[in-house]
Amino acid sequence: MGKVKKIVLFLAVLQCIIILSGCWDQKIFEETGFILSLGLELNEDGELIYSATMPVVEEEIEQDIEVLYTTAPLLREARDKIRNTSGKRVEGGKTQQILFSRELAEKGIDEILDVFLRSPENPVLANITVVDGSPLEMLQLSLGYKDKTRIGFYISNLIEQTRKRTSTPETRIYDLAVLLHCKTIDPIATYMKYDEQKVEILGTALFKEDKMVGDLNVTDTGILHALMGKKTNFSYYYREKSNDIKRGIAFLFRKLTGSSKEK
Amino acid sequence: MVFVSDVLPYGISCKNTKEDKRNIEEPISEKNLRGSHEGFIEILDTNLSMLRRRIHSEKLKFKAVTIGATTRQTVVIAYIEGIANHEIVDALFDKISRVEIDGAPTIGYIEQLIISHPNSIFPQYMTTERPDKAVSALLEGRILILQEGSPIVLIAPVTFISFFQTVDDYSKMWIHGSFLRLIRLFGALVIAIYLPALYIALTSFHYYAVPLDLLITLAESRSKVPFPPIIEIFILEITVEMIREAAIRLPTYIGTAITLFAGLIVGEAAVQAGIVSNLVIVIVGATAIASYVIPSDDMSLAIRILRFIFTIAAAIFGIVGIVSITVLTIAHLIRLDSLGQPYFSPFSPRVIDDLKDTVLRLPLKFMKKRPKTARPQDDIRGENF
Amino acid sequence: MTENNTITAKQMMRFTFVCQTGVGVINLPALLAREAGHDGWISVAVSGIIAIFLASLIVVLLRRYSDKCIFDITRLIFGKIIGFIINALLCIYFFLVASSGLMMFLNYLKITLFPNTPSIVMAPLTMLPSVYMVWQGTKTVARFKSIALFSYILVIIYIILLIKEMRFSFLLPVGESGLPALFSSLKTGFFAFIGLELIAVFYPEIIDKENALKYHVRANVYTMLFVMLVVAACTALFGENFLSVLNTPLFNLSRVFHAPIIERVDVYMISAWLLAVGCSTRAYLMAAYYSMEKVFKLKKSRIFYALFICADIGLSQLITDINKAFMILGIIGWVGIGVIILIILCLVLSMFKKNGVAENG
Repeated sequence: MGKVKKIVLFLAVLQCIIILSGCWDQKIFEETGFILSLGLELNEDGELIYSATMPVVEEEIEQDIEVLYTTAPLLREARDKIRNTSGKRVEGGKTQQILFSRELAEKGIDEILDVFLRSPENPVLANITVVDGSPLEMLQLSLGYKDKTRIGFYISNLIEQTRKRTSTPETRIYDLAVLLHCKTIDPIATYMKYDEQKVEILGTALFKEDKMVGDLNVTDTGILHALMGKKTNFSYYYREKSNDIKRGIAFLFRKLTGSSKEK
Repeated sequence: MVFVSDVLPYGISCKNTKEDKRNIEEPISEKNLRGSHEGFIEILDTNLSMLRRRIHSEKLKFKAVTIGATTRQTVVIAYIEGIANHEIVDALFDKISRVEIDGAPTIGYIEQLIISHPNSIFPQYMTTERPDKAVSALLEGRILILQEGSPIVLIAPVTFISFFQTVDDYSKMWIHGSFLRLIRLFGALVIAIYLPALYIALTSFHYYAVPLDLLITLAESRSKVPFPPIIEIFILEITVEMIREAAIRLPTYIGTAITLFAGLIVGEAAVQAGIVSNLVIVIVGATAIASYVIPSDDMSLAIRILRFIFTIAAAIFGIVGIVSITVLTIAHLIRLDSLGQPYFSPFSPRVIDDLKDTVLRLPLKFMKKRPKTARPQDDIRGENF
Repeated sequence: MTENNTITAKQMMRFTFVCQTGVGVINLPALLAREAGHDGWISVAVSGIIAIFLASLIVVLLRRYSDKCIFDITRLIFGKIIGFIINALLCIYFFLVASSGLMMFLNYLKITLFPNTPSIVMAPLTMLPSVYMVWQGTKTVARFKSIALFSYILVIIYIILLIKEMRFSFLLPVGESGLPALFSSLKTGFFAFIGLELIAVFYPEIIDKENALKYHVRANVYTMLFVMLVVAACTALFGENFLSVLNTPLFNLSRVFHAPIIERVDVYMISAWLLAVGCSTRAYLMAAYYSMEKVFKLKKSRIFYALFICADIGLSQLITDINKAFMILGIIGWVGIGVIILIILCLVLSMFKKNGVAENG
């Protein structure tokens, strides 16, 4: 081949390499806003209020999380609407927990779960929690928590610690999805409440199919775990109603075994 | 000097000139702790005599050939008859005899002219300046190429894993030797090649794979940097490579000053100026240190080039790029051969017996048989000539 | 028998194993869950036994003609003209499977890691190692398969790590779906074993032919065990209802584990498995290239090779929708069964038409 031809070929190959890159899918790290907590509830018209918190990493901004919220009939629509307000590319790949309001949970969470399962980058490892109240209010109140870490990490650590003491069950998205589809086991989720100073774990939210029907407190959650055959590590407090010196006894359960018979 | 005797029908003459030559001292580039501190020098006869001093056997043979139209240098092939495979020896001798060159200032010229795959980045001949390494190669059935005027000898045939073995591995106890070898392999093959590429893949494409605890710190440090991750890594890598090249040419007293200066520049100052983030400094530093653990300089260069290729592939295609180039590299290693013998043995044409000396160095009592790489005529080490 | 195409029987075993499991096992648990409920693993076991039987039959056929591959055998049995037509059709079949393998690979990449990148851009990158290895010959391709086994070990370790999350009650009661469902799911289970006919193409290149039968049977046994393990693990983890709506059960499996520090391991598991998928497509590509050389008696030329690769990539771009891709895979599965039946037919016919049969056959 002549020299000119060789050079032209080389340049063409080089150009191909530069064009043929995965640039379409590039998500540069610092331009991405990670949603750590996602809150979902219904407003009076039955539309979805979608709220999210993203940690702020620029040092010049004082507040350490960014709370975004919007209203839309569909989940995906809400996510796109939120993208119109934040300067970062909002991505849900690192979501740690999804907070449902009690009303929304009582109406049914099947459709919403479906959306999370389809997209490949959404983590199926996010915890599912039900909040007694409004998640948006909780996220906004958390801006005032002076002695706690960012709300996303705070809730995530809280759930993890209470899970170890079996005050609350482990339910991730895929757990719930599996249980919903199999129609033989009823799903459960974490249940919590909030106020101006803190977030508190209340116990378990009980579902029938995809609608919430009741809740258990922390002690009963421990017994529920024992019934399910999982290891337990909880205390059961017994109060005496009389005015004796010993006011109560605490039983510490380390490991319970049980068997069940079907009739 | 001439030796005549009434028993022999012939006389023997040999040179007895006193030449000005360098003292035998430890080679600068191949230091060790537990072996001899001697190194080959430029005079061919001295090198041959060093070999003879270590192998007191009449089976050690030298075959000489003169090459170089102008310089007329002697090149000698050394092997132990009865162990080395005579087909390989003959093939090598043919190759060297057919070399047409006007002069070879260093042995690298000959190496490049007899190599079977000149376009590969991996070296197919091992170089050494140490006689103890040369002797252990001879005992395994490999062949040495010595050249007049060169203190470096070539060893052939070699495998990929032999570039990561040092004499110290064998002279220490087997657990110590295995530990050192594991660190060397992990550092050289995993950290030196993959760390920058993995960083780029995760920060450019797969943000969700970053651990949660690292998320905020990484984002904070990256938010101050105006460049995308690939440019960051390139700035630092090219700086490190330039420092490395400069350090070879500087005399030692300036050398220490340069490393201090480089540490300051590449370190804190760059981070403060906002050119790079501090995680990248750690990554590039760890990579640079990891690539220094490779005993062989040729292989170290190969690994450095490979790292650049991986970094570019990761920047273009993320983790799929890394996987593709890994596959391509392994495919190339499988295909490569050194003097006709498969290069990636004992991993690829799997020879279970030879695996005892690759990642771990098993005790010497398991090493009664010679490795199959050089296809030795006599398998068993010992008195079986 | 050319120098850079020689392989040993053990390498052929690994070749067949990787070829059978690479692409198919990603989607197989979901297909089986739709047809057989939670007894998918039983249908894999039964079709595995059938596959082992058929595999042994094929090797017995090949042994009768000591040194010939399937193309020579068809020429001997059916005559030159019909034999040539059959050979050409076989060539086209291998080429189509190679293309569809690449198509599946690109589609999986699209739905898991790279949703926005067009597949024409991903194709050259993923084909690059295959292009290099297929040009070097069967020896290099076969040697690489032993390195691909690393992906399998990783998957097995991962499944062991997930045992805590599994509910074995999902697998009980055994046999609940009943015999009719099991029978109809046998064909789906058999799709996992398509690939055992490749030994008929490469038979002349095997150095130690007396071990061929032993190792080929072993390859199918390993495939059966591995696919059973994956199907059972998916069923135990997801339950048959959820499993039947999943698209890529194996990759969904990798998203479920919550690793201590790195949290999400799916990026690493998917890329490790892509290694095996690439190997599987490469096996068929090698078969296609090799058979084109043999049937059309072509010499090794760069231009033809470039055209071959471009045709392969071009064909794989035709289908970009994952559901249509699964449909095509089903069709190819049926054709594969047809090819195996053809080879068995040749065996039967060789009992009567004895020309070319070796003396010790």
